[in-house]
Amino acid sequence: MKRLLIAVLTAFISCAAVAAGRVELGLRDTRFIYATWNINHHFNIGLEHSVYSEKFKLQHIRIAAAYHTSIKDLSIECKPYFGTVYNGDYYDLGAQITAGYRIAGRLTLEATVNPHYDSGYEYKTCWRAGATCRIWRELSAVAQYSTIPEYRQSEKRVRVGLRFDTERLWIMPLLSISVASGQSKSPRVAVSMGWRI
Amino acid sequence: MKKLFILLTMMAAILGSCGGDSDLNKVYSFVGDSLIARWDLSYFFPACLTRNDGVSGSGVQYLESLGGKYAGGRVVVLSGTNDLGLVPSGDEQAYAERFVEAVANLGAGRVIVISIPPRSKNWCHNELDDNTRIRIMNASIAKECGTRPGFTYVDVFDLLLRDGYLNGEYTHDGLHMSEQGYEIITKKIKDIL
Repeated sequence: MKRLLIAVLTAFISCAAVAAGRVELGLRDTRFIYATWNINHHFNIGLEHSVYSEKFKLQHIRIAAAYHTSIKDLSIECKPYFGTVYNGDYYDLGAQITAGYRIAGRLTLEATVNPHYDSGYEYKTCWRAGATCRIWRELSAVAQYSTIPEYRQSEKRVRVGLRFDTERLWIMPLLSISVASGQSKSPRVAVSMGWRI
Repeated sequence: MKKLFILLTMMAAILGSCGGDSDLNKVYSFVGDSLIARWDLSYFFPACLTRNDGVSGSGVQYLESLGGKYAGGRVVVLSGTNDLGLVPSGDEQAYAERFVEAVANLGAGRVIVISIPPRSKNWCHNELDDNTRIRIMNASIAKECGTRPGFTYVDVFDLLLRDGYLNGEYTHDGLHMSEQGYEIITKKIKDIL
């Protein structure tokens, strides 16, 4: 029943959005797939689903709505979200408020504040700060410091990598390394991408 | 805009009502040596509440120092390889008794003890082959765990073995686990969780 519900919702959003030519399909941090639908220039809604190597009942699903606006070189986005796993073990909700500022056309500074509640880990204010520097045509270098959970747990991580941008496709492979003392230093490859249909 | 708000509220209510019971929604504290400290728990257990209390180079003394810290909680213990050189040959049973007593004194209501993994050839430098001694220690630890309520012993020794030594695919340096090695152990633990 739950799978049917998700399938119907996904199909509905996908069909409606594709018909309107305002959908983006993609991947976040290697382990989440998503679809967003731009309702108009300022609003979009999205559905994200984990692809963990876990049983289906432990997969995570998240819905989000976002408001986006720009004032000259400053862009602002507010994205509230709600997510849960299928067996109801836990849920999370919060909002990501992001501000980006473009400097001299090449360099963009970006900061995100993320008040985040997880029913298991409880409340935490997470954040991310970073910069993107265009180095050659569609190619940019990306560097970030983040405490926003890549999966479920908030961790202090440095993420560095590249971003390729074309008209309809963007790909951002990042190397994510924990900088917290006492934690595993195992680097992760966090690949994100989006395809605007 | 109003319709969008109603739609999102309905979706949140539907998804939020997908209830169920599972022990996974409890914190599992992973306690032990560098094999725990290097274990990327967030990656391997993305749906679990986990806490990494591994300390590189530690052994049974570290476990003893944590007495009572996990009262009523849930722990996963992987330790012992650093004690191998400190335990005289023939004292494996006495060590196992001390080890399991230290784990019991953590105070947890649910305890999962993972066997000491094998070593690769370059890490076996005692007269009596270290992996033979690890096998003896594991058998003694398994026997002691069997006498304790709430204890589950997880044997990964043979899963990690090839030609009598730690499988090269599961390690970077002959002692610590590679991602593939952790995948083997993680799968066994998930079967129990």
